[in-house]
Amino acid sequence: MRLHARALVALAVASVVASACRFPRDASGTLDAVLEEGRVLVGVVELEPWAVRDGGDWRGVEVELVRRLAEDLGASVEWVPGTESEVLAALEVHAVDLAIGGLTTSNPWGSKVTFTPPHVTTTTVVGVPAGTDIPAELDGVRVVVERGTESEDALRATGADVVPVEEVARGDGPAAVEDWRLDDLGLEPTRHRLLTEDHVLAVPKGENAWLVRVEDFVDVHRAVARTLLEEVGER
Amino acid sequence: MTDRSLGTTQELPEEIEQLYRRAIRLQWYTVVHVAAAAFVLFLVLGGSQAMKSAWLDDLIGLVPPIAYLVAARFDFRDPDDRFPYGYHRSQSIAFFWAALALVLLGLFLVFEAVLKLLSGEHPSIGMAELFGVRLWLGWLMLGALAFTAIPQFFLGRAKVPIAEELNDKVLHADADMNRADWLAASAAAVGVVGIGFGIPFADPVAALFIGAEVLRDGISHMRGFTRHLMGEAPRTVDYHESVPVPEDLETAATEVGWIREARVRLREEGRVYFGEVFVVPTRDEVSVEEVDAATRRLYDEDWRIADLVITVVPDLDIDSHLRGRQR
Repeated sequence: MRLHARALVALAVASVVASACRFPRDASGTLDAVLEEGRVLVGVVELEPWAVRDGGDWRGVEVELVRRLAEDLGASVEWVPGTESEVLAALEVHAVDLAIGGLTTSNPWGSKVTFTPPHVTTTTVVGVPAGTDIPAELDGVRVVVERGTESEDALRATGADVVPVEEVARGDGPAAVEDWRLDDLGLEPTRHRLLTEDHVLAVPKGENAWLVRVEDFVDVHRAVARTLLEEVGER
Repeated sequence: MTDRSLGTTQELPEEIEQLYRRAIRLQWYTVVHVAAAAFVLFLVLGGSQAMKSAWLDDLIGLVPPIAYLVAARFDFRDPDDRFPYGYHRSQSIAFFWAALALVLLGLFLVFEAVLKLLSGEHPSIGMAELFGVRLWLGWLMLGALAFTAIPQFFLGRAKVPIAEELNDKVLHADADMNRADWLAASAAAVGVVGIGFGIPFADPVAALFIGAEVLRDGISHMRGFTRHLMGEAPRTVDYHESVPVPEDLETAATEVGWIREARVRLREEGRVYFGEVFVVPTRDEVSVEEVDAATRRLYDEDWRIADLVITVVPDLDIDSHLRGRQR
């Protein structure tokens, strides 16, 4: 047994050295398949502003990122729409190569699929109309927030007078929104930060070469993602 | 001739005392190294599941050296009214903890490997950034594992010969713990490399081999401890052979003029030997001085003899065991 262990280690080290050029690799060859077939299968969850159906096509921050990734790889994108659990279940069994649509690191699927590092980090803050006094405490302050979101829960915890709405609009007064929407809504940020979300792409587990390729792409496209998000906010 | 009275802690030979100090130093190194390795693993792996396992490994690996260092504070204290036989058994207690730690580590490794195999998990390893350089996180993990494994390898190797010299079962079990730790780190390295090659089952399979090996070591030490507790006659630290100290003492005793026959029974208390010498005199009267001189002479046979009593008996038929030893 002692010998086995040493032999295993020696073998492993030798083979790494021998083929360090093609390392790490995929357990089931996703990157090779994408490059060979010239096609990326992307599971997409519809969620503003990350991925939105636009007629027969898709638009959104993450849709645009994926288009650029595919372009880098010399591949076309085939969209596979579904709910979040449909898309991530498809990713888990490797029926798609990539999943997008507002996924964050707090997503409970993190143990079944692999998330890339964040391409964009958003912060939900309480904004007030430009020129108004910034309240030191939120106790009793009337604040508008999108109904049924995590932000709503976080806002309630501050003791603010929470007003849930379907969609926050310009002129609603103080509102809790993600930082990239502030300009669009004519709001100025206060120091009341409610929550921070790391937005990620997801790949199947065990696909190391593919993961590393996507991570490298994300690493150099953070500024692009931020710009895309700000543009959505201005529209 | 060593100056001693009955049951008193003996003066250790100079070279043994030096070795003992060296062993204690090695144990301090081990504690410091394990703590440093845990910190490095934390930096590389963050709060992942793999991290938690590595930490548990480290925590278990700390048990033998800490037990050793605690026992070393008591080992050679003089006997007192509360502990009239001295404190040598502190070593036996440390031995128990070291053996238990090995068993637990083995069980843990096997259990975890089986769980991983059954779940068919395919972990993936992405990129990391170190001082502004982007590189595959797997390389960092391998570096951290090497940092864990290589010193453990040398610590374990340094401890074995000292353990043999000192008749130190705790140190011997702890050397096996160092071996277990570097083997486990190697298994984890095989796992990382396996993941990198897209062979996810390399990890649990390697861990299963190593876990079984560690468990086997642990069980062997646990059996050794049980026999130790039963008062087994002296054996080597690895329990493979008996040590002929009782026979040597009998030979030495019969070289004393007034002793016709002698039978010795010894048991191990921690690292030292306790026992009785039953002697049949050649004549009816023996002086106090003669018995005392014989006792001192026998003590000088081996430094590991800590407590020896000469009992003068008319013949060796009083006990079937004493009668029956085959020379």
